[in-house]
Amino acid sequence: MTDLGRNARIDPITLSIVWSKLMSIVEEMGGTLRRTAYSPAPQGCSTARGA
Amino acid sequence: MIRLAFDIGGTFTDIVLHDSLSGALHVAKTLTTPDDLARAVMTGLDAVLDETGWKSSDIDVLLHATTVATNAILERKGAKTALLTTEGFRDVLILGRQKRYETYDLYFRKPEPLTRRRHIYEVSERLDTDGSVITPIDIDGLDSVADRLLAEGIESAAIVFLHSYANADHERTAARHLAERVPGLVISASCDISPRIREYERSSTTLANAFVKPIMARYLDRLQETLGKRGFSAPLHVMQSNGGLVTPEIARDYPVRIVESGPAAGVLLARHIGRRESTEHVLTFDMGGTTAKLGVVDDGEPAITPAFEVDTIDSRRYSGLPLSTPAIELLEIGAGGGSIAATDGHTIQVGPQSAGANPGPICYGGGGDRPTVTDANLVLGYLDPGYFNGGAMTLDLESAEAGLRRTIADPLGLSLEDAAWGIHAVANANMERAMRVMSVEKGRDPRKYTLVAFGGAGPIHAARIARSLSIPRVIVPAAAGVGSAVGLLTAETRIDVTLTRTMALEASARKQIAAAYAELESLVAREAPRLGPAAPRLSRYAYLRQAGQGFEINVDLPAGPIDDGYADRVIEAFHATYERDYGYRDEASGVEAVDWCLAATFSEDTTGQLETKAVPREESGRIDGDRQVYLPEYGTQVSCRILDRATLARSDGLEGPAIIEDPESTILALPGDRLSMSERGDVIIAINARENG
Repeated sequence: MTDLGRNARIDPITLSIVWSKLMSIVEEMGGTLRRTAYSPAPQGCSTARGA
Repeated sequence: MIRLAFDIGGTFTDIVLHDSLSGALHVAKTLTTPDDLARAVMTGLDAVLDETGWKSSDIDVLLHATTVATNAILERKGAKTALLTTEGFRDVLILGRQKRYETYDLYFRKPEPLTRRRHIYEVSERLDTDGSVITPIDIDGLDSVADRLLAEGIESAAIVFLHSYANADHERTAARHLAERVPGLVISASCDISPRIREYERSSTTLANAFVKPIMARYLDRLQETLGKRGFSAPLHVMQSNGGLVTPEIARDYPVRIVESGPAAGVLLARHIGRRESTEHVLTFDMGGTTAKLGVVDDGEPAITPAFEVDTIDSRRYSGLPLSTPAIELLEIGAGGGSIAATDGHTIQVGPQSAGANPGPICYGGGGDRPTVTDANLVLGYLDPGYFNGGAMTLDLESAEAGLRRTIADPLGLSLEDAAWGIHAVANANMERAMRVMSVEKGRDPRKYTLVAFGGAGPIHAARIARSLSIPRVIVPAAAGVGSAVGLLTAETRIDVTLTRTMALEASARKQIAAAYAELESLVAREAPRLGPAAPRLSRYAYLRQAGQGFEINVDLPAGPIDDGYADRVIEAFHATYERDYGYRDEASGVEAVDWCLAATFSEDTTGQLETKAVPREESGRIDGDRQVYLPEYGTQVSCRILDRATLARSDGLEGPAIIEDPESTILALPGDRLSMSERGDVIIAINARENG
C-alpha cells in the first residue's frame, strides 16, 4: 500500500461521496439480509444495520 | 370549469388555476407564512386571479394540500392531549418497539411521544382477542379519569383499549361518557381512527390524531372563513396521505389521514404524467425547499403502504412515530433547496436542517447566513440570479459566494467552485441513497423506470441522479415547480377503511371474509353521504402472510361475490403477489390474513381529470442565450445554452449540456443527454448512458 505521507490531503468532496457510497452499500447488504433472513434476530429486531 | 389547487409546503405555497375549457394552467408561488398559513394562500390566490381575470366567485372547486398536521407533530405544537388505555398497559406508548434505528449510539434517543406519561390514564376493562369481554369497563374509574382531565385542562383525548378492533363497545362507552363529563373535550377513539391489530402502532396513530385534531379544526375554520370573506363559494377538498380527496368535515375528524397530503399529491402528478407519456413504471422525485420526496408508481398506480412513520431521523425506519393509516409510499429526506451545508473540517454535510422560507438561503437576502443547496446551485451557474421564481425574486450571488467561502471553501481549503460543487454532489449522493432504498432495496430495477422530476429544485438535480442509478429517462412536466398542486387536479375523492380480522385462509373462511367486508362496506356507507352524491367504486385489498411469518404483504383481492370459491381466489392472489415480490411461490404453506381493507373512490365531474393543452408556442419573453456554468465533466466553467420550453418545442431536440428555464424551476441536462419535447408539452431527457456510473 502506498504511503500517503503525513501531509497528504484527502479531497473532502471525494471523501464525502465515497463515505455516502460505502454507507449505501452496507445498507443495501443489511436490507438484503433482513429480507432473506429466517432468523427473527435480524428480521424482527433490525439490529443488522450496517452489518 | 375553473379549478384552483393550492399546496402549502414548508418553504413555498404553490397555487395552480386550471381552466378546463382552454386547458391552460396558471401558476403562482409564494413564500409560506408559518405564523398564519392562510395569508400566503390568499397572496397566491390573488396573484392567479389577477393574472387570469377570473373572480373568486367564478371558481368551481378548491383543492387543498397542507403540511399543517405534519408541522404540528414535527414541532410538537399540538393540543394538550391525554391517552386513555387499558389498565396495566400504561407504558405501551412509552416503551414503543424494541427496534433501534442506530445500533451503536450510546446517546440513542427514542422518538419523543406526543403526550407525557402523567397524561396517560388507565381504565379497568379487558377484552379478549376475539372481542369477548373479560373485564367489563369500570364506569366509576372513567368518572375519576374525567375529573383528572378537567383538572389538568386536557383539550383532546385518545382512547385506545386492547383488542378494540374486535369489539368497539368499551371504547364507545368511554367516548360517550367522557363527552358527557368533560364539556368541549375533543375525542379520538382507536376503533374509528385505526381499528387494527398491534396496540403500540394503534396508540401512536390515535394519539397523533388527537394531538392535531383541535389544530386542524382551527386551521380549517380559519381557512374557510378567509376564503368565504374573499368571495369563494366553491366546495373545498382536502388531500389525504392515501392520494384521495375528502371534505373538510372528514379532514377535521381524521386529521392523521392528511399528514402526507402534499407529497401524496406529487405522486399523483407523476402517475398522471406516466399515463400520458405511456410509461407504467415511474420513480418520482419531488425536491422542494425543505425536503426531497421520493415515490413510486408501479403498473400505473402509486404504491400504497399500510403504515408509515412521521418525524423520522434521517428517514430511518423506527426512528419516528408510526402511523397506521394507508398512505402512498414515500420516502422523504432532508435534502431540499434550503438544506443547509456544513463541514466538520473533513467532509461536507448537507441537511437535514433547512433554512426554510425564513430566513431562507443566503441568496434570498432574508437574513439567512448559512449556505444552502440553492446557494451552491446559484454559484455553479445553474440558477439565474435575475430569473428565480419567474423573476419574482432576485437572488444575491455575491452574498452567496461570500457565505460559501466563509463556511465551506476556506475551512476546507477548497476553491469556491469546488465548494459549491461539493454541496451539490453531496446533496445528490443523499438523494441517490434514498432512491436506492425506494428502488433497488424493494426489488425495483431502476433501469426499467422513468424518473419524473418536479418541485422547485428537482429538475436541476434529476439528470445527475438518474445517471448514478442508471435510470434511462427523465420527464419534467409543465408547471413542474408546483407539481403537488398540479397533482391535486388529478385526484379523486377516496377513502380507505381497514379492519383487523386475523384468520387462517381456508375454504371455510368464506363466512368470516364476507362478514369483514360487510362491516367495511357499512363503514363506507356511513361516510359516503359526507363525500359526495356518486356511488363509490369499491376495490378490496388485504394484508396477508404465510402462516408463521411476522410481516404481511399487500394483496389486491378479486372483486365479485364472496362465494364458496372466494377464499381460494384470495389464496391464489396471495401466491401470485408473493411470487412477484420475492420470485417464488410456496403453495404448501398456509396463508393467514391480518387486515382487510376496502378503498372507496368517488368519481365526480369536478375532480380527477386534467386535460392540459400542450406547451404555448409563443415566446416567453426570455431571451435564449448562454451562461457560464460549472460542470465537473469539463473540470471548469463552460458556456452552457439557456433556453425556454417554447424554443425547445420548436427544435428537433438538442444535446446537453443545456438549461431550460421555466418560471418556477430550472431543468439541467448534462453533457451527452438528449433533450426533447413531447407532444403533451413534457420535457424528456434521454440520459447519456455512457456516462452512467
